[in-house]
Amino acid sequence: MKVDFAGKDKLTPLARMGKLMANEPIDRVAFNSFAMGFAARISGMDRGTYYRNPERAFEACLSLMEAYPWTNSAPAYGWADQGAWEFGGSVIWPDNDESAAPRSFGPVITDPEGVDSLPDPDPETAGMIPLIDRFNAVSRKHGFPASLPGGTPTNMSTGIVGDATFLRWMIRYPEAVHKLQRKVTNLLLGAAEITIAKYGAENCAIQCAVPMDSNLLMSPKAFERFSKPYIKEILGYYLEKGVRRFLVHLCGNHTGNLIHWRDIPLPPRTIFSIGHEMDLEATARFFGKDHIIAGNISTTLLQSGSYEEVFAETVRCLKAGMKHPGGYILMPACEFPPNTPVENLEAVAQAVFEHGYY
Amino acid sequence: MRVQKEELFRGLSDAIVAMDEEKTVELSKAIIAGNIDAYEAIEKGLSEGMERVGRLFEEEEYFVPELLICSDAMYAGLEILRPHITAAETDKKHRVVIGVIQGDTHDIGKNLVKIMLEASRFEVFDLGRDVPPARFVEKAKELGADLIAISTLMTTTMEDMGTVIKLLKEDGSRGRFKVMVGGGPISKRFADRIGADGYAVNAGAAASMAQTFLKAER
Repeated sequence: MKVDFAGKDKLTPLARMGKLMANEPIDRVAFNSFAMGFAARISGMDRGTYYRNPERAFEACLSLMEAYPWTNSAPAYGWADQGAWEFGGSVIWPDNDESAAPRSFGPVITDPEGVDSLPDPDPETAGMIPLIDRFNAVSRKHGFPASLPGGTPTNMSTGIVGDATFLRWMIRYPEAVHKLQRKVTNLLLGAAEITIAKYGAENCAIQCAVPMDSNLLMSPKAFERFSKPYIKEILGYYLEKGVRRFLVHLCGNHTGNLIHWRDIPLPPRTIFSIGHEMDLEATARFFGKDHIIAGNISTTLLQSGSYEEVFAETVRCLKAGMKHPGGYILMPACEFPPNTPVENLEAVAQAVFEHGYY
Repeated sequence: MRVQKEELFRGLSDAIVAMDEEKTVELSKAIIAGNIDAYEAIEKGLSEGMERVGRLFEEEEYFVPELLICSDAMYAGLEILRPHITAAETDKKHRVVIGVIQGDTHDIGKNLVKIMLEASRFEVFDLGRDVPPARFVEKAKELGADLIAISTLMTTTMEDMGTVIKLLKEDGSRGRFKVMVGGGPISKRFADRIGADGYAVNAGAAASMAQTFLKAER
């Protein structure tokens, strides 16, 4: 059953987001689907096609936005398993697969001595960077911001040496971890400099996803020692250059790390989106009214739950998030699952329609 | 002799908790040199140490890096002690087939469960990552395993955990194995829906659950 938002909405999606970012009153909660694989599926393409062809990926995202005009979705492109390809390894494309994202073939090095001999990749041509740039080019043509490289080097560093090796090195070879983080940070900043010069800081946005920095893997002390200095450097650079659109995706449980985020330079109205492991109200209270909270519809329920369960889960999120004086965006806990039944997206719509108005 | 034995076992346990691979190896060698029962040393030294590590992990004193280094020490000790276990003691072990379900290559969680299962003296056969459902069934039957443990971090691959159970039912072998599932998107509700015997929220809980399954069968 399609929900008729047109009769109730007082703002267009663009106006709604603009007012939210300006901390002005809005009519209802914005929903950002954060959909990539789902957009591909709805457009009838497999994920290999989506990721190999940024222009087609953009079209798929636009089609999704047109099919669901009540959402505040934005075109998105990227994947989590990074680093190996950029530093000399290879990538496995999810051809003929509706579900998987590109992934690394394997670590590039596994010995700490190997860090020094890692090449310094070209920040214009390494790995996925040219693909991101193609997506950025078509995004800008349509008035969407260009994406800057993620704000943490840890995702790439773990991709270069393997998750378990990186975590072991934190104890056995901390200097190697720092050397690796430094190399990756240099690449990210190099790519960022090119992107900002090309499109202008005011037309750029950063989505800083930090799955490998979570307390499910490392302690808050380890985050402070091995991740925070580099995140500070990268996000500080963006801020200094004049980038003002920041989204931090706290993927996993980052409760122990939150205190450190107070030291990381961020502009007002930074969006903090959280996964299912964290609490919307508590996280919102922590960051305060100067920032926006987003999340955290269970992706398991979106994919496998009933219409009623998804509806209830969405209402849970709305009730928690709408209390936040800084503003709230309804989002899934992580990427919208590609295999989500369309009916479950309709359940989200119904819940927003009934409970999402201020 | 008894005092010395207990001291060595305690020392082994402490070395594991201290992430001291060198000390673990030294003490393991001393145990062999002293003709002390290797199986008892594994049980009261290495496994005991890893149980303490598991509690520290649950209390968020230790995190994954510490768990991995402790397990390195444990494996170093096992390498020395295992060859000295008698065949009868080896036969006593319960077998687990473990892997990450097809389509998923995230294996840290699976590796942590494997560590804790081995620390709990299960014999673990690791199928690795991206494992087709039929392979779990095939290997479990081949080995006469007691337990199949399946992991995933992704919503997109979790339904195939149900496929493993479906395959077991189809060939009439469901009753031969306990099936345990875990990973980021997994919940007890999901485990119940697909007909799994259990869901564990973390590696320590997985090892405890495995022990509970087997005690219930005795």
